[in-house]
Amino acid sequence: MRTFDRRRFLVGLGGATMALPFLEGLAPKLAKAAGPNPYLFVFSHNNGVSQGGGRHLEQFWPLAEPTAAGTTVTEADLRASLAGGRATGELAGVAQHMNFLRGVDHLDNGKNSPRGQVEHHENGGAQVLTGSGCGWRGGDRSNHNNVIPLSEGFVQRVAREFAVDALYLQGSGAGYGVFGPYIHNRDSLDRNAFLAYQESDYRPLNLYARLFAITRPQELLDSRRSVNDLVKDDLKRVRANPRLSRADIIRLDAHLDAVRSAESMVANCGAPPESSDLMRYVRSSADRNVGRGNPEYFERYSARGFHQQNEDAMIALAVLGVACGSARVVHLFSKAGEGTQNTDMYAPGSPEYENGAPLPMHDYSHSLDGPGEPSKTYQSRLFASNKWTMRRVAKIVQGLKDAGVLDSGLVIAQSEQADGDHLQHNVPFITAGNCGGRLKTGQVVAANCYNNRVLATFGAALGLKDNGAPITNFGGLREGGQREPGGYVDALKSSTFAT
Amino acid sequence: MRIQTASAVGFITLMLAGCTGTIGDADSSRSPDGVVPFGGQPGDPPERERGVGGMGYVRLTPSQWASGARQLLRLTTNVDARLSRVQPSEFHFDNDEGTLGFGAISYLQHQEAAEAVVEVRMAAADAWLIALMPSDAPQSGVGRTEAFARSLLKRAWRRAPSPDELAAWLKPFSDAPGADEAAKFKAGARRFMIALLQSPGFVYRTAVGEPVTPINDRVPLQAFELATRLSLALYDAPPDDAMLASVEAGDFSDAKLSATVDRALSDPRAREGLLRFHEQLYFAQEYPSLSKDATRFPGFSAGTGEHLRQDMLRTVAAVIDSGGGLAELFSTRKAFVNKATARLYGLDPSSYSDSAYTEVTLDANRAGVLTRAGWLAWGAGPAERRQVRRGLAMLHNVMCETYQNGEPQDFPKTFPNEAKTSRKRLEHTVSGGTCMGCHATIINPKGFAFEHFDAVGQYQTMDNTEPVDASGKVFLDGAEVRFASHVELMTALAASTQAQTCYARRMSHYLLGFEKSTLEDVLVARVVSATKKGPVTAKDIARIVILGSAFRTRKLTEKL
Repeated sequence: MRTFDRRRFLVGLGGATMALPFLEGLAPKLAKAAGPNPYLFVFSHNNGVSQGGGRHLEQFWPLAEPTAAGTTVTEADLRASLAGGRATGELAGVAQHMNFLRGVDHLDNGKNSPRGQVEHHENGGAQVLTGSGCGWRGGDRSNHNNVIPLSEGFVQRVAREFAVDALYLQGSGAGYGVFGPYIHNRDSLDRNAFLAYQESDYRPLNLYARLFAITRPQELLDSRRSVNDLVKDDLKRVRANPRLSRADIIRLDAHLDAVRSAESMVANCGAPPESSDLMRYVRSSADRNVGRGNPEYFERYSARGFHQQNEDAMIALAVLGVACGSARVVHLFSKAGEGTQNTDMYAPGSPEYENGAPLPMHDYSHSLDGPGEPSKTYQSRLFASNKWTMRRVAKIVQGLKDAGVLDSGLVIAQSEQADGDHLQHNVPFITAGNCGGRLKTGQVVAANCYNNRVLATFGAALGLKDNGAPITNFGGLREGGQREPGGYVDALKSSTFAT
Repeated sequence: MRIQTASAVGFITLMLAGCTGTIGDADSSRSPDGVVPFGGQPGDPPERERGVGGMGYVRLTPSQWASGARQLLRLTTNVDARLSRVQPSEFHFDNDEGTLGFGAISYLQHQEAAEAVVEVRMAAADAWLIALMPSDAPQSGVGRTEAFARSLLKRAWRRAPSPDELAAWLKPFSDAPGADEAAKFKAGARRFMIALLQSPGFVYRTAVGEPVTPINDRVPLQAFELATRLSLALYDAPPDDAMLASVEAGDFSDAKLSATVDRALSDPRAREGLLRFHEQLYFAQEYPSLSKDATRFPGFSAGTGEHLRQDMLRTVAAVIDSGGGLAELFSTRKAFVNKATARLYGLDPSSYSDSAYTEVTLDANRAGVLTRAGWLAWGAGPAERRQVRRGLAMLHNVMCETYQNGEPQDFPKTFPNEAKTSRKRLEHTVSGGTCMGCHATIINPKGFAFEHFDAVGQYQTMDNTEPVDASGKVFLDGAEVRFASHVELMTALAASTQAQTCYARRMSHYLLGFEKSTLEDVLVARVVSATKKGPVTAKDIARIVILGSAFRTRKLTEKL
């Protein structure tokens, strides 16, 4: 297990600008304090959008036609989208918080390459969060395992600037996801990130301990409750003045609502109750910590809903950690536990779940039927899997929204490749949250750019700086050292973007 | 920024906004001390029927909150509040009432800031609490606690608490844990002070007004509210103890107000307040985050923007200190340079310090603050000038014209061969279609005037392979004015009534903390009247605003 750097963790909680001695003294309190600090929650789903010929890529956008200026998407639009075969319809309940980007290419995207040239999952893994193109170990392009990323990854950069440790999580262990296509060659995503992923956590009990095994800050909770009561009483007294205007009343009511939201956030910030289903699962999962790659482990838990249960528990805990301010940078690999050809993407109660039947998810994701299956079986399987994935995203977004912190940061859901088979062209980016009002949301956008600009937009909104100024480019390096010009996706920028 | 569809409408709006033809000639000499009666004066223009502003509760800006916390708790070091600065909508000031309310995030930020301010000082609580205790407080018992609470409440809220309010605010002390009276007091004081920094009386600038019969639908502000508005406007901080004592002494009554305002304006802190206004008027707060194309401008590093901000602030300060006004702001050739910025003005960097700023007199191609490298670099992209940005800034903040924002249009990605200069490329971009009307008439010409300055504010005579063309025409004081370049335009603006009244309008927006006052035309009339008697300084305009009705009253709006 990776050594937990408590000092850095505490700095992150209090903000990098505060003095450490003070933070150390206040740590037990701040550690549990709900806070509006920006956060980043990246949800990576491998394989998911690599569909041959682009026949099913559309599932990752709504039906609404994207425009460069952004086309508004509503809950009704997304519900209609689900009926129209778009998995993004699962996000209908949080539509106004979402952005769907279309037309995003990686720098080395293969779309103009003659077939036969090596393009693979690794090419996407090396580019999607670095914003740079692919490098090739030893200059050897004959094998996709030689792909290496050219620059720092987005998660690492954000964690570095927030001065916190990122939480690297897997939906479950046993993995194809982490050791599989996503970072198969141990270098993808970030040239320095492999160790972080290698040690990434798939065990809910470890995550629980990491997030909540800190002295309960009862004193702080009591203090805030008392302070909030005083402020609320004062606001009510002020509001009772008969000489106030309607605008004054609206403003004071908004203030009262803000206090109540803060109280709700604080109340939700404790560890989950031991009697909850979540904690029962967390406790019972302890005996499953048998190590990734262990054949027995794989056989035992690769089916029968383990991945689904485990991933949901990891999501619930991670969301709670963000809500409480005890986690600010999270990267969760969804479906990380899927076997080479096996997955378990169906809800408990479905025939597949009950039978524990291994499903060849990798085949489905590449528009192939499983061995011996009827023609076109993959279509319904793939749609079910994609909906499952989007429901996980919806859980994250809804959870952060319920905690009142969604708009203080950013959720990014993405995959490593898209159009065609193993190409990094038209890669979907799905986001939620407005970074403290810096981003517009509720739209589908024809970004039509390389992902270095997408990441620059996200980074600037999260407060990343280059030489003291908001970043205007992220990655953008090509193998020969040339740098792709930076810029932003203008449709995402709110009027307060540059602050 | 891409503009607009209704050119005719935009032009009509512009002409109406030119505004010099509708202004009356009110004579402020009828009120010898400058204090305007609430009902106005004979000859005043009619109060506009429609307008907004004058909200009763407006949150302090982050810097005002931090200054207030430092004053209230008698801290000797600055407060690092870490509150997010609210980004006002475009061309509004950061103290604009429209954006300063509370949401969950801003509430939590204030909560954490209040906790941090108090917690960090509790280590030396004994001495600190004694310093905050009124000198006439009893030595022990409930009376001592009450004296402590009453004193801090009064200083935080800028008014005395009512008995009910005091009783409610003693609860943190009565609920506090502690083995003895001293421990209970300390624990109670901690929670009390954290709450006080979040209380409505502290976090809002209030403007409810006196409970009196309105005149012209206006009521005067209560004295403490007027003092708060004055202190925030000039000092960017709530009233300090001295000003609160001045309120109690009756210095904010009509009879004494003129002298009180003169004292306030002569306080060195007022200079800082006026600098904050000009900083935002000329967007200097954004200079530090400018980044430029490293290939084209290798000398423009991360710290250059801050140096340019300092150049602008020092230039404005020099004008204020010398008793100057808009005419001087638009003609000064002073600049304050160091090694990083000297080259932008064509000076030899080796003659200047790395850090200290040296006052220099620039050549005749620089005329006023809008020819400083900071403003020009702000009005540019990483590599190329942005005439539309410069033009819109002129339109809003120098000439107070309006236009109607249009639908975004797709810009061409290629240009004809003859479009070799950035001016020609922009002209090609907006030629034809619906863009032409406003761009060609009211936006672009103002930007083209600064065509001699590149993306970092360096003076150029050639753009690409062609001579720079900075000529154009604008409508000023209702008449067409043609200019060969920025120098002629700035000269015309400095002498114009339109620019002078626009300057006054914008200063009133800042000092009031809101726009669209229904009394703005009245204010402008007073400024025009003053200009007929002689040069008007920045402080003169501030005085006219502060003594005017809009500043000292509240317009009653719809009641529930």
